Amino acid sequence: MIRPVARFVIGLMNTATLPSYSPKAAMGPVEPAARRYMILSVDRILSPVAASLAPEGLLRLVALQRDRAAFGTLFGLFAPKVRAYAIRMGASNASAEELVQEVMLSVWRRADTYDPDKANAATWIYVIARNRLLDEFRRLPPLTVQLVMADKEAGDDPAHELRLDSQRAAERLRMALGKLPAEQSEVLRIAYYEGLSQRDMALRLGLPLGTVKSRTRLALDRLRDVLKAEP
Amino acid sequence: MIMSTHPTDDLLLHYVTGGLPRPFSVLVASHLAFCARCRVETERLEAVGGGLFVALEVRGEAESGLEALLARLDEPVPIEPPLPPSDAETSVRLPAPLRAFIRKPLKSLSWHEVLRGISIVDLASIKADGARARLVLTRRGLKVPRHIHDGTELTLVLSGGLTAEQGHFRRGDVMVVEPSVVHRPVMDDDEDCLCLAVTDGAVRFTGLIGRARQLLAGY
Repeated sequence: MIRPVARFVIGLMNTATLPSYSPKAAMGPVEPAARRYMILSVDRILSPVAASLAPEGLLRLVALQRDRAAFGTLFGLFAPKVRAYAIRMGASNASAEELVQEVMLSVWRRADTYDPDKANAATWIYVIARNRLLDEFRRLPPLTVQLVMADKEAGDDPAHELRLDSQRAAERLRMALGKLPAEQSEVLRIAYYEGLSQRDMALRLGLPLGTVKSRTRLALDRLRDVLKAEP
Repeated sequence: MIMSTHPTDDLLLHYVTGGLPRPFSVLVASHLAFCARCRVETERLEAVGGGLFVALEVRGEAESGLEALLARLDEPVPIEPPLPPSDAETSVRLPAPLRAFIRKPLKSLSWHEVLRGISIVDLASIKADGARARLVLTRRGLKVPRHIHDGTELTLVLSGGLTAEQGHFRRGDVMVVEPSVVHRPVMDDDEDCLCLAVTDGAVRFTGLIGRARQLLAGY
């Protein structure tokens, strides 16, 4: 149940910036007046709006307004995934817990660096989680920073035009993943969820290396076609 | 054999999925700083990872950590130390992922001449997971004695260029040499050749002179 004051605030916001979620619309500039009202709003008041946004819009709210309700929704969506991923990669329950906290804290702190043209929200958070895991397990100078810098250094990026429309592609990708033959989806899952090399995967599955390679290639070719295809 | 100046598909996938030994990861990250094609490919592979990440099955119970985390949101953000200042040559030659590990100017690193015209620096800060990384500076025009690698060797060219059985390589290119392949690269004439070389096995010179020098140099 939304209290009257909350409805009022949301009403003002709706006219300004958040009529309904669309990735591009949510990225538009926020009018100063709207921003003032959003700052006035408290978590409880904003949550019905936050709950109706796609993750990309939530990240934008976190970036622009330091919106804790939007962040809470993101936490609900992705913290369980981060935990599941950490455990598949071999983390203990305790370190998975710690990792969830660290990754979601990075999401809060780095939301303003999120670029929706480059990746959808899930991919962005996945990459943060992967980098944190690598830093954590290896007890070595963190690689995260360096990878980010590699990206920055690349500067004005000629790759930009080759990029996919990340949100639409994500939907197509989800469908394509579901349609992969079981044997192909198995090698992808082991590769991504456990970080195994193809050689180690061949040992694990008791398959010749060539078989693992060709299954991986077939699966990725199919997904790449999906990611490349015009929307 | 198809000539390629990029890391193989296997390597890029393993880089993205996070299992690649760190020295190889640093090399791939450094290559990405030069190569738009591989950056796009990496992003595609990461998008696949994002799709699989969302598809992960989670246990029934809700996450309990939100309250604790909300209390931490206002903590001051730790400031990442900037890279120490370096000289112009180092900044030009080394891409950022590499500069983060090599925190000194190139000329003040401890170079060892292992063969005439070939000097190396062991990059202990990158060594991990049974693999190691070295900078190799080779005099322009030099023909490197025939040698063989026990493991896979990846070479990223940072200046100059070289020609080997695998093709011709210039700045930003990656040469992949599979185990047990004998090779004898020849350096381009225009400039001394600086490379980042990463291997998970030993390098053995097969010719008599190369082997003798290797023994003497303790390399």
